[in-house]
Amino acid sequence: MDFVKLLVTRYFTDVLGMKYVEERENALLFIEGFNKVAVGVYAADFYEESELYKKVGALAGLDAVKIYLAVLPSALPYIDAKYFKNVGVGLVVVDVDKGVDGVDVKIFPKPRQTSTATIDTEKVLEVLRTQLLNYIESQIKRIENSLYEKLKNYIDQKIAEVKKLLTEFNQTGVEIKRLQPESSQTGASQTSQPNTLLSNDWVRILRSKSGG
Amino acid sequence: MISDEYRLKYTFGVDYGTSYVKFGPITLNEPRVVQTRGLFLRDLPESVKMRIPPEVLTRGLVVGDEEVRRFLSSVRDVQRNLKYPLKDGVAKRDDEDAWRVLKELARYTLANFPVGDPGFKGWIISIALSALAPDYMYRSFFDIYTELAEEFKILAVTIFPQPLAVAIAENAVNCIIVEGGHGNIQVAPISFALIREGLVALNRGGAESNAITREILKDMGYSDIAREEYAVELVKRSVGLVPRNLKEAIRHAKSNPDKFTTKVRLSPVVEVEFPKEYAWTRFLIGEIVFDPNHEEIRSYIEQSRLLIENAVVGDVTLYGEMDIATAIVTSLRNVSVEIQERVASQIILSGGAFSWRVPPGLEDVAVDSVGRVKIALEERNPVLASKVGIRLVTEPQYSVWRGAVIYGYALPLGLEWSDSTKEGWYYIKKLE
Repeated sequence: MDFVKLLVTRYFTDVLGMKYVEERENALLFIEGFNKVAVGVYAADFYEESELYKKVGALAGLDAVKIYLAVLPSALPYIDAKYFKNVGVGLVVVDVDKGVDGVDVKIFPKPRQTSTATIDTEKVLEVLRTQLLNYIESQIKRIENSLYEKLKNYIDQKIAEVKKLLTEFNQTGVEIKRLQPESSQTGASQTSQPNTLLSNDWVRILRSKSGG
Repeated sequence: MISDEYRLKYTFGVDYGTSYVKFGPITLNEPRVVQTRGLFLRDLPESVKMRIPPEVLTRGLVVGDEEVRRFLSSVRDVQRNLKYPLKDGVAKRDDEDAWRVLKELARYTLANFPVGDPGFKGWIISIALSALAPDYMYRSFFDIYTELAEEFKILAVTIFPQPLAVAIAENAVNCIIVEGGHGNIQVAPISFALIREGLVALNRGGAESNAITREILKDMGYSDIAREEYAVELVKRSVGLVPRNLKEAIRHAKSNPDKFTTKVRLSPVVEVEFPKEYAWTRFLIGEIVFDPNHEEIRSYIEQSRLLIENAVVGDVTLYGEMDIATAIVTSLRNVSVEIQERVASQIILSGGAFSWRVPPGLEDVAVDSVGRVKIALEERNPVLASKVGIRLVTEPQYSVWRGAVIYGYALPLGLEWSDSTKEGWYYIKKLE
């Protein structure tokens, strides 16, 4: 009997590309992508119809997306294909004389909604969440660094400007008027006029006119 | 009490040029620019009237480049309704349409800069007008700003001549400003102020270069292109040359015509070619600004294809045929002998009529404006020429506006306007 299980296992892994997990409650469990696949093996010298239905009933209670029942060719006369199709259970016939080549899927199962799928989705979501968090964290760090650089440059520039104004003040002895930026409504930019004014002889000449 | 900080924020400069008005507060690095023109919304179809805001329709005209363009296609008689208010920087006293456009332009310039600052007490407005502007223009501008004071906060207004503004922007206290505009050239001596007695104006400028370019184009068979002012201006800018000496330059160009042939592409489908037999005429285009007294230029005048004559604007005579060196010397003669040397120490050229290039390889026969004025002075008065420094303004487009805001910032607010000195602040009397 174990030889039948071996053939089924080899067929499901080597031919169908599934991953073998374990044997539980008389069924072989495989993973196909994110889905669980259960294959019940019922090998007997003499088959009983009632026993077949029991096996199918037991398999249907398993937590798997696809369910197969593997039987020997001698079971075929007792198989009601309509019943299998109705309950969505697949049928695998194993001709042990032909080895793995003797394993043949006669009826394909219907995929079922199971809680396994939900668990997998959660895992996927968890992975996505983690990756998203990592990405957001890296972006925040990038923005922080860039802001820091910009602020640093701005402050350095302002310090340089103040130093320059102080130097000019010391050199000329003229009171330096710090120009306030225009109100945002006017949309005007700050200018270098004060420097132009400081060095312009006309300012002194005009200021000296009577009435000043 | 108005502080310097306040004046550094709310001094507003306006340069009323013949073609463009340059305007804006002192805080700007560069002024805003709008064409000196207005479009009267007369003869409009009813369907267009419905789309115009009621307040605009009430005023009956629009100014501003975008606004004028928007309504231009809707106005039936553009020739009659598109008004350029200034000619040679002067608006006629009785030209009501011109004064309506100027008032609308004044409103437009201030409306461009709404102020939300609670500390704002009003604009301090500094206006630069042509040195040829007669007294009534000063009075009319004061009236305009008095009326606008109901709509915008205005503290005080002053008006002063554009050459003085150039001198201020160039930080030149003693100098001669030679302003070459489209319609005329003004020679203005400055020594701590504009010396009005020394003001000499020539009735020539960029327009005469255009006129001779147009005649040359006609002679070459491009009569259709010669009709378009835009195309003529482009050809003038591209091919015009200022000769070191016209006679020698023409002789050189006639013996080496290949060196002076050129092509100007005006559009993907239109190209103007100066062939060998007309290559020498390129020198006439530049020379006419500096000196029209040449046989080659006279022939155009004698055939009535070119008009160069004296004109009177306000109380100033604009000389048609006077060459640039004579104008400078005449101007200087009217300055007190004591300060003549100081005033003549630097000659500053400004304006589009002095914007000429020397193409590579033609340096032996062509010069720029600074070089041409220097050569003209050397011929006319070598002693004077050896003492002057001649240069072009650093910012040809904006120097008048920059001078206006500096003047507005520095002129003491305690100095009230005087009609005799044309100096000081005109305070807007609040309407009760």
